[in-house]
Amino acid sequence: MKTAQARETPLSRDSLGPEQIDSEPAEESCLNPLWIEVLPGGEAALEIPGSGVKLGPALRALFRRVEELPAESWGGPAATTRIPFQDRTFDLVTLYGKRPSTRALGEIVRVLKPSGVLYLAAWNRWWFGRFRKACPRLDSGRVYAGPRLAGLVRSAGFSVVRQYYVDPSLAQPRDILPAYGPSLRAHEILRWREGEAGRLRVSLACLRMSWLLYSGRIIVARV
Amino acid sequence: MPGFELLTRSLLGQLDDQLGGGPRSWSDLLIVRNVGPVLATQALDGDRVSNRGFNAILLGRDGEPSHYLKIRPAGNEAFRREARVHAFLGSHPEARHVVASGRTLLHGPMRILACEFLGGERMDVVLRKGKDEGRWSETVGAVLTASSPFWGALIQMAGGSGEGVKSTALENIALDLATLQEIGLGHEASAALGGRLVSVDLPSIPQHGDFWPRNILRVEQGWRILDLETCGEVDLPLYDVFHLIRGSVGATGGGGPGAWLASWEEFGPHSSTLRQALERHAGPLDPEQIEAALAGYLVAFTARLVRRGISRDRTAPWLKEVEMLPAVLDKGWVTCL
Repeated sequence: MKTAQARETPLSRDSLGPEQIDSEPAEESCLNPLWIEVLPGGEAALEIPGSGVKLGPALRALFRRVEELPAESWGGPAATTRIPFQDRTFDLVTLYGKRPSTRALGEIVRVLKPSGVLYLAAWNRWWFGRFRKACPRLDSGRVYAGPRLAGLVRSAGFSVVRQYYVDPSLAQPRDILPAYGPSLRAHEILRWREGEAGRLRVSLACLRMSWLLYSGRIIVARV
Repeated sequence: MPGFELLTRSLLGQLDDQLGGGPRSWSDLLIVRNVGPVLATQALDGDRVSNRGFNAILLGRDGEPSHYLKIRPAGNEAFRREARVHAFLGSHPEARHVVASGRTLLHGPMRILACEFLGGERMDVVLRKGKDEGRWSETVGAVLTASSPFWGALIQMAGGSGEGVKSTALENIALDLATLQEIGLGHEASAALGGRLVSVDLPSIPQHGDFWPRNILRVEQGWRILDLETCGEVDLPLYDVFHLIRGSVGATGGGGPGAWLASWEEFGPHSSTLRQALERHAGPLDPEQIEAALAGYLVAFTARLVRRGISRDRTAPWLKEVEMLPAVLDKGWVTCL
């Protein structure tokens, strides 16, 4: 396997170059993966925020009207999972870090226009880092995406479902990887070939266990 | 249809002659990189595209990377510059051997520079593996030698030898120094550098502009230079040489801010390579001009970091070197040449 431009290595603080200058974290960087979908129209979007992350600014730049569903009305025990809008209202619904029930997905299908898009960003239930003591906060109120989530989305009536892994995190995505074996294997080999940890990651990718390696997942589905 | 699929289909269609036709799964072909810096998206010709773009790796049929892609919105000036440079260098009899071959493709409102994916090892990795002085000198010397045709081609592309044309790099030096004063550069150091820089004329010599070890790749056939986005943007003589040497010292541990300057002054471990590099690449510049080029490089680059909003703790090593500079130059930094 080739190795090349894409390999990342830690940098000392005084070794800045223009490439690193451009790579400075941006305030709104959590919005970025929106462009993996060619978004329709531009009339209306609905945001269902969660875990303190909001896509608002990005959506406002793309759509004439952006509605926000209060987080407390979604997913909790007292929630109605009723979206208080008419049928076929939105071009896009974003759901961030909230696991939808079958009934909730049905509501999303109802309010989406034909060919409307669901953008679902979630933390990966199987990410190895979740189990480290260093990350206890990850368990505070977040719901994780497991393999069944994509099936759940399909069964709710979405015809095109695509899955991506996000590295290193949803909040600061640097790489977006189609959740398919060749892409994940190539990514791991390019980035992590050296060192014991790197070899372990590559081995897991070759064994089709990449689902352990990434903290974030994105599911994009079209009605 | 998801954007990934559209993009991949478009790429495969345009690169069909290199990748081979035939049906395959479109979705498993791209690794998208550097999405972090992409800010809010914007509308362009009806599609939603990022306003700064992103990079991607296209896999071939065997699952191996085949192309490195830079994907930018139409109108991106850095992209246009890089595409022009690629086109020129790709047909240059000598320089084409030190850059990856690239093609410009279209995808709706996006422009794509598709370069061959080069297998190899980045120069900073090479330097870290062989930390002894001999290996360091050998590696840096080899890169400088291999890059000579590249710089020659840049001069040809700019339309001549640069004789009689003054570098524009020092025109903004007062502004750069004022920027550095705002973050703590002392008035004395600023005045000393300003006085030294305004009194010197330097010829215009186009540079790569981002010539440091992370943008240089060792391949089986030699060395390749990557990332041509800033080519020609800087025309300060020796800018690339200083940036490469500074970065190469840093890649091996570095010894802290200014270590490469001190090494020179004290005839330290890297000094012979530094001198040979200047002897080879300074051309007709006299010592005063070389010192002005060094000062211009450090001041301009540090001011650029500041203007881009880089945090102070990350610009501090650069600022410290600028502060050291008047004393270093007063000792006659290049008089030993």
